[in-house]
Amino acid sequence: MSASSLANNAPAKASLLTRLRSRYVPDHLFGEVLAKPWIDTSIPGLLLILVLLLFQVATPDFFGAGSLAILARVLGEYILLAIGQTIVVIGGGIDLSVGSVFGLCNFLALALIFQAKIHVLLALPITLLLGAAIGALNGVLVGYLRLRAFLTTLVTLIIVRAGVDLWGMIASAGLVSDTDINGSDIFDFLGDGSVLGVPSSLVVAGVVAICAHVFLSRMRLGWHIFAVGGSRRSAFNAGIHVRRTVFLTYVISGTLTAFAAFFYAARLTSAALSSGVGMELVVIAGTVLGGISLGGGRGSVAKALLGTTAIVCINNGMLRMNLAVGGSSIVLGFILLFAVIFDIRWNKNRHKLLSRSYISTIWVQMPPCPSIEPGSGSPYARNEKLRGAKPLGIGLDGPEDMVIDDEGNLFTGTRVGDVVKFFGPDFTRQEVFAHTGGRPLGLQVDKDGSIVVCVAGMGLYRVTKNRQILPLSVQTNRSFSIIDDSRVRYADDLDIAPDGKIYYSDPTKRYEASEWLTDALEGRGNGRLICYDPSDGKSRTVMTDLVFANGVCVMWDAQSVLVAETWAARISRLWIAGPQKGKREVFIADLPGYPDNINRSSDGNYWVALVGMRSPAFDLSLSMPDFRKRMTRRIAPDNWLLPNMFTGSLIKFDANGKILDTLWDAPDGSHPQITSVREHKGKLFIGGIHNDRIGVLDLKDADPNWSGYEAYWGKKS
Amino acid sequence: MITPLRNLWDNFRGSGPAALTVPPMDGAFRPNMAIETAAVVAASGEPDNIAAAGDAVFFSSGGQLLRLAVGGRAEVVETYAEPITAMAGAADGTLAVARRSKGISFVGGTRASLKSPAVDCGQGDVTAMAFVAEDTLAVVVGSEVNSAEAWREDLMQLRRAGSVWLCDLASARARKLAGDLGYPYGVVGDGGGRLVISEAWQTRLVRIDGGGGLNTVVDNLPAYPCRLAPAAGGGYWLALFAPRNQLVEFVLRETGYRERMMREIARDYWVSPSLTPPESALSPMQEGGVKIGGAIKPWAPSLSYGLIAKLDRSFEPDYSLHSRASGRRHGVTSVVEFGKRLLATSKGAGVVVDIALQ
Repeated sequence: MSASSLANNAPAKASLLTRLRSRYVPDHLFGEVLAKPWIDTSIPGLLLILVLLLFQVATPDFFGAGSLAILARVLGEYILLAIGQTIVVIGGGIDLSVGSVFGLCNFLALALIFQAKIHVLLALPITLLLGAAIGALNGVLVGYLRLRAFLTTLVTLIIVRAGVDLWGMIASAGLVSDTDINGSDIFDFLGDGSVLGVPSSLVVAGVVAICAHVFLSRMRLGWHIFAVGGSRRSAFNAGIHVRRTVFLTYVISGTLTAFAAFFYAARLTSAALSSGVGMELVVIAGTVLGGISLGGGRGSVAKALLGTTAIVCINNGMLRMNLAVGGSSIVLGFILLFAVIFDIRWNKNRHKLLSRSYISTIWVQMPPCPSIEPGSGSPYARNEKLRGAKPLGIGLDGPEDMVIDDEGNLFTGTRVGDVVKFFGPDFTRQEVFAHTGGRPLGLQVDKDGSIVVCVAGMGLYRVTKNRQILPLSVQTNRSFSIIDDSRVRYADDLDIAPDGKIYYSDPTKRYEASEWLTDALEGRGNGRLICYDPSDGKSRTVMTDLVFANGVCVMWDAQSVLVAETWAARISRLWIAGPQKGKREVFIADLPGYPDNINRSSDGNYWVALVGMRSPAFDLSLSMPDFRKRMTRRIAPDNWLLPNMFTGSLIKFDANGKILDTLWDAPDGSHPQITSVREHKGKLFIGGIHNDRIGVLDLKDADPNWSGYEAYWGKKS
Repeated sequence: MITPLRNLWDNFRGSGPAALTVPPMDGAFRPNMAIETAAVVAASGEPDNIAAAGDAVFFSSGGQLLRLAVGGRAEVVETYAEPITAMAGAADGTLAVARRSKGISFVGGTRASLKSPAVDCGQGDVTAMAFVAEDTLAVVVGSEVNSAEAWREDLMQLRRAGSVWLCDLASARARKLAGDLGYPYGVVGDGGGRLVISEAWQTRLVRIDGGGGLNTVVDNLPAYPCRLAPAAGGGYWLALFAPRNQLVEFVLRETGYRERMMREIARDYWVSPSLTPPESALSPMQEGGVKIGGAIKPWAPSLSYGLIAKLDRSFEPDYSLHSRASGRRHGVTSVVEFGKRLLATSKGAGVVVDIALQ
């Protein structure tokens, strides 16, 4: 029975629409943008733009010079408050007393300047001290005495507001007078001045915002605040002074509130009893609207800025729209409600949306699959030539690749991050040679006998004879893409050219090493070939758009490099020397399976391991990208249809791409997914990424003295 | 009005009948390896049907009818040119044998000369039979469009073309009780004058009364049910020949892929339930089926499975015997309790096994 008649029917079947869509519609971008860390901040950003557009339409002259100036000045004060509130909220608390502290500091500033006739530059630190003192009171109650933040700051709000009312009644109208004050030009500058057209309060707020951002993201106390807000118990266990950190967040909030109040005093010089009433609602609404979680541990200054700006614009816009009394509060309340609900839903479901939309399948046209039936005359016909392979190192956890060094010892990488050494010539004794920490995959011996290894998750590393692990290449040049592919996150196989340059493959930049099978479903050319030059330590991407770039082998004449494109079932070539340098071409176009590592053989040819075989059901699904997309969304990953990896095989080919021999494992054999084959002194070593042993097969006609090291570097002197 | 709206909503949300969930193998269906570790009684060809007639046990393998002798050896009783698709044994030693396009014949006992009842199978075959009384034979035809060996096509074409017949042996007349069923594959009398059949594609057991009325007895089975046999001491045995699989459920709902698959790919390499574990390098593989350390995980999602369920008198599953995804004795199509032994045919592995009963 014919194995697959798909070979003859495929080309005409996929609709033109599917093909065009796969080629031109970049719907992989949606998932990549969603995976970016700044996606959380973009939501309040978009909201702000929406708000601005809305009010520009609803109220005339919203962006007129006059209204914009007042808006900007008010915004400066609110931003200072918002930064303080953000720091408290990130630390896991909340500060409801900001409005009252604002009013009190306003009174103190006016009293100091107008009644006590203290110079403005001296009155500012004293006002800040008052704000810090009240913040310290909050901090002692909430941080050290472990009282509930909400109730405590609510009580502080009431008490301080009572203090403001008392003071107002006692001082009455005499707080602000027409007498001269000390430092009035500075006072006027703070109230009405501007720098390059930007109001002074907004400039100061901007500077404070930048400092706060640096503080939160790059300084130790800022990180401690995140830790305490994220998980108080874990922060305590890690040795952070939780109580002191919480105390300091309230002190910072109080100080910034006092700062804002000073600007207010300079701008309005009004001793009204109602100064600062209701500000806490606006500030908290702005914080939540910006996407900062009230539970603590997450947030940023940028989000607070965006949220506060949106709220202030909404407030201002509603004022201009002349809403009835209380109308703006109602609108603010609803906005706050909506913001909280959306925030919770987004945090819970963002990863679900990402997982549903990240896998982006395209239409792939596979070439006709060569027959593997025994007796069909095909060079790939099935057999059981690997049945005689003896086991080596039973119990190894996934030896993906092996290499034999100049002293005849065998090295292999395991799933747990070890490079294991088997002592030659009989390989009965083994030891853990080095622990790399990632997932070591491809290995090669360098001229000095050190092992160069591709560690998935880390990059290209060298393990010297003294067991030192040195990074060689972990970064390459960034390409024009949403994903930051300058960092090499997945390195698979490598080979070393005679001039010392190391060529290694990065199979896919969209997925991690643990998700390598998901890349098979996409069919995209996400892989690349990178060249590391040891003379200057630089790495360059030399080949892109490879479909899961896997095995790398410098050809015998060192004029070109072969790269296996696993899911495309082909081997490509890149010329690295000679007249065609830089050109790339397909070397073998239609393998019956998925090629993995490529290595040299003793008779001047090459071995390639096939990790799996092309199956008709999967090949059919490759030409139906919507089917695969729906499959990834509707059924569990465990059940996805994948390339068949039940039986492994090896293929030997020559420098022209002609197939010389094929060796198969038995269906019930121990080598189902062969990822690498290495020839050494008349034996073939066979490794697989999920197998529990290395297979050793005796080759009857091979040179019994041949070694890979000498083939690359010549005899040791 | 309500039903089409609800269908639309279900299709949109992927809930109800449009859900791709598969009942887990839990409770009465908690996995074990009882079938895999059972003793092999006979190993030959493709054992499909097994039935006890009088004091002998017969099983079929392709066109061969074999008898299990006491010592454990199987001797060929008869070889037919056409494959045997169903068998049933009566207490008096009569064995009813249904063959493709040759109707039902009777072997052994005193009634070997009975005429074949006039059951109209259309293009299909009889898939199961059972003696419900001395002179009454219940016959189920899996599909009137596809033959017994084209059961995969019948599933993939979403056919409901099976029928149930009640035959009077004296007059060789057959009365059709119900039609348009989703591949009835097993039948047994429930002791109350009615029949219980296993409807494979609907993965349920259905009770049919004399007037043709249908009543679901057991629903949401985790595998496709096959032939039924009464158990000593009350209750019944149910063989289930292939497991339900999320990927197969998905493909059944994907018309474009399914039709192209049926047109372009050889049947053995379809994404469909199977009687044998996958061996070929051309079979479809699922992510959970990746071999780790050279072995398939027992809990891996699989297109084949070995499963026998013990049902109590009211047809509720009591416990079950399995051969999990890592085993080879899959595709159990028939089971019979004889004496103290439970004999089952594993069509996938080509063996008849004897499972020790507690």
